[in-house]
Amino acid sequence: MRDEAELLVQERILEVRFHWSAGPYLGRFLGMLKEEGRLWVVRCPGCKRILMPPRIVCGICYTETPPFPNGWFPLSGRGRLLDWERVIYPQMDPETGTIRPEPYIHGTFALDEGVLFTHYLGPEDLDESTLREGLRVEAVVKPKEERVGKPTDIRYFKLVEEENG
Amino acid sequence: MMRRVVKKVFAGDEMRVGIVAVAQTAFDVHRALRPQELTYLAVKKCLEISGLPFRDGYEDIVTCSSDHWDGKTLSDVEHGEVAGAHLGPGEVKVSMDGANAVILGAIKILSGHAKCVLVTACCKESQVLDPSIIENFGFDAPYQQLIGLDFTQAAGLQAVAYMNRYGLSHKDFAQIAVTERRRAKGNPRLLAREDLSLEQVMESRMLAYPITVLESRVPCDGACAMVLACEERAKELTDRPVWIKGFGSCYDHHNLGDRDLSQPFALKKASFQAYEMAGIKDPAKEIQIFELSEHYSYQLPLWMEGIGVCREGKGVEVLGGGGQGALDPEAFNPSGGLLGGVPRYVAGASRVIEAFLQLRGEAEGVQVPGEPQLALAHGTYGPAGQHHCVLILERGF
Amino acid sequence: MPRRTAIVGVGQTYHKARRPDVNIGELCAEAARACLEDADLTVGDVDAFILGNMELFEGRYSQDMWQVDFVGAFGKPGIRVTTGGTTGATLACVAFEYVASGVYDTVMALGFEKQSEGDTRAGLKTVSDPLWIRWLTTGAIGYFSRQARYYMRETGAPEHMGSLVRMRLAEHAKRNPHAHLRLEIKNIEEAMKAPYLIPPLRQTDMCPTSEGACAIVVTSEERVSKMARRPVWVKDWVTVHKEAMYIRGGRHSVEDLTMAASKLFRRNGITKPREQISVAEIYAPSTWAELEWLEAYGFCEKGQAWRLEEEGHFYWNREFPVNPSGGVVCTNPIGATGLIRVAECALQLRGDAGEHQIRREATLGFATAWGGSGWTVAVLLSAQKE
Repeated sequence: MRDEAELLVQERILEVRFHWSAGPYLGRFLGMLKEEGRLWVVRCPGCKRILMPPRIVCGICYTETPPFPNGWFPLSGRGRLLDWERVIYPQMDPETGTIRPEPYIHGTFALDEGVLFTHYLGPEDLDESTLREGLRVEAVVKPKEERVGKPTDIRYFKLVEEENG
Repeated sequence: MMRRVVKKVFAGDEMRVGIVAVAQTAFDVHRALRPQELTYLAVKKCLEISGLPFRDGYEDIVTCSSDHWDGKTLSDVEHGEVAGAHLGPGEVKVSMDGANAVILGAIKILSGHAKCVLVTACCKESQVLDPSIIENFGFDAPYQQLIGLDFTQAAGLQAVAYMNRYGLSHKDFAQIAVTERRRAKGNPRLLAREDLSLEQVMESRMLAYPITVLESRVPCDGACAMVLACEERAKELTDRPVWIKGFGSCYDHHNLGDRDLSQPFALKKASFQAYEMAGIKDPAKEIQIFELSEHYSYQLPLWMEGIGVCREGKGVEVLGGGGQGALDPEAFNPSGGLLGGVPRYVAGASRVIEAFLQLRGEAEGVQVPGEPQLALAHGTYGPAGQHHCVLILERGF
Repeated sequence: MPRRTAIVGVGQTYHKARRPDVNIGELCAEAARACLEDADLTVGDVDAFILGNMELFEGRYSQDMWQVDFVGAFGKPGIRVTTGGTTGATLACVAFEYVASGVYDTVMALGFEKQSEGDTRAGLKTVSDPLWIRWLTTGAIGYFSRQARYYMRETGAPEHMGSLVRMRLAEHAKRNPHAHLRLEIKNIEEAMKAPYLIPPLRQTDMCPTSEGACAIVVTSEERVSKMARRPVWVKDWVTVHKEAMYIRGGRHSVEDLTMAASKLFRRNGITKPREQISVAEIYAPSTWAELEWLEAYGFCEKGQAWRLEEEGHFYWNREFPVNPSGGVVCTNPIGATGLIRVAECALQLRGDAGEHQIRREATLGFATAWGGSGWTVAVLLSAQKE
């Protein structure tokens, strides 16, 4: 009986809008990225690790983060490639509800100041076979008129040819 | 028939749970701060007051937040982080009204698994632009959701059922809003500051008959935190503990049509459990303070009937001063209740805080005189009060 | 006064990719009824309910409200706790606490997930901070492909190890009527044909999204004698969290796993885990994670897990059975998965796991759940009261 029953299905796309505040710490980080095209971070006064992104309190030593500009400094945007992934399966972009185009490569970079950062590896025609751990990379920032105050104001990280030989 | 589900009654040398410190942010529209930053401010204050060190001072954390209102899965990642969960005490998220988080904190201590628990609750309503859509998806998919219900409409149905059963009027409910808001004005912990007239309330925008916008809880942002401890630790941490003497909770049916909305069935059961645990036989006589979670003004008298302090249908009368016996209308929500502006999720936990402050004589601006000994704090969740929980607090000094 | 607690009933649905024939309430009802039948109890015997799942999945809100009438929670006390991937085990721990507190005698914990009713990966991506990294996150798959690469690099494990683990779990799942994925893998060459998600992680290395529910009933030591089933005693439980991992990259840390297991072992006199513990139902979302996390929990030295796997050490009928149920890689209804680990452990300790019952004598069981930004819940169950 059950097998023959018609199954009724409803489909709906939920659109729920949010007005998130970046807060005074992440907000300043994103604001400076937009303004200057640089990554401003802060060192935790307690355990000295770099808080990226900056946040109100260090979850490890519970020291409150000083507000900008006390203890804040800009990263050079340069570092070395730690690891990378070529993403080859289709997936939904939760910001748009649409499928993100693939394939693309993203990587983790150990920035020179001693902090990790994850972002795209580019340009689009980057040959994955040339990638090795330890290659020098640097951030490619969008021109000011294109920057809006999101992490994607950095277009991608590219290999620094001169230093990688 | 009330089934005995709760066995324990606290008396004498049974292990007790105390609330030793509470703190909250202002309840306001905090455009600039992120939810976890609000939680941090409450936790920071609470730890300062209690004298406990971050992370090492407690064995467990119970947070209360909503993934839907925070707009992210595992909203407790951030709230737990600022509460000390990193490689320290475990953390559990209660995703219902905050009073339930307090109950879970108490249970963790009674179970012997923790001596001290940090409880937090937070919600930033100003960042959610479509609360009705979220609430609509809280109804069962095949039927009630498709009718387009949200919680305010469910409340409207309940208010009408209540009105019709006992011959109450919209004006009765509006008057309650006027009184609550007058009290809220004196409470520095709430958002709403101005007096309202009856006309203003009745003529404000109708949301779902008979509920107007001024008869509804003012949405806002905020967080609170409290430290719970077993009796031994509580006495070390403060000489003015407030004991949690009893608690109870209960689920009602989900389908509104399965319920008699004019009868707060689940609240009756939850209160009964709490009274049994606390050894209370006559709540109207024995309890001096009642902090009830009225998300809409009609709920205040309805919840009063649910906790059994007055006869059915007589809640409005009691609040108007014409009550039976010695029931003092000022005993109900002296804080100004939720109508004065308390965030959802935080709501029930803030009732516990208000009750705590009253018992300690620290309810700035709204203190009830006469050294109250027992208080009842209440939280509710779900459409038209589908779930209720009740805590009985006792002054411990 | 705090008191001892025991699991006296377990129930789960037959997990599948999709259950279009039931709605959420009906799915949970199946598990609740199976559990009550197993415990030989009625709904009236249950004093309180602990409910949960992943909040945002299924595109629903406050699911426990809808569940009430389907699981028997009407008119009863109850609470909803939601802690992501660890939800299932957290539900069990809260149930233990409810009973240990002395306030409630018999408590049911029930977790479920009905993931076809939402986009799970999108839901998972909202773990990420909306303003920071959500645009980039690949959800769990990125994390576990990285984990696999690091494990290979650090231990010298050859690439076929993932597939070898997968074969063991497939064998276990074949013996477990409730398991979701029941793959027939003839040999390692066949296993290695599975397509990649993000190299070296293959589709088969990663857990599925399943639809299912699981329930357990917990009661107090006083009431255990009135129960039909042989009790499975709850010895201890622990939760460890890591702070928000803003950066998803670089070498992940397993501190939470190590800390949770070592706390549990220390408190309970476990010094030789593979000897003293009879069976481990560990929450491992990928085959490679299963290897690394066995090491992180302390069951073997770093780099030793894959060698033991090669010897077949972890098979259901061998020296140290790991995930005789097939594990998370075969069955993953997220809100229930952690609870399934506890339930399967209980079945083993009771001797009721049927065709996937371990051969080794089952005295102590170790069940874990994992999730969040690196959270672990670990539970120790015992066939004996002391």
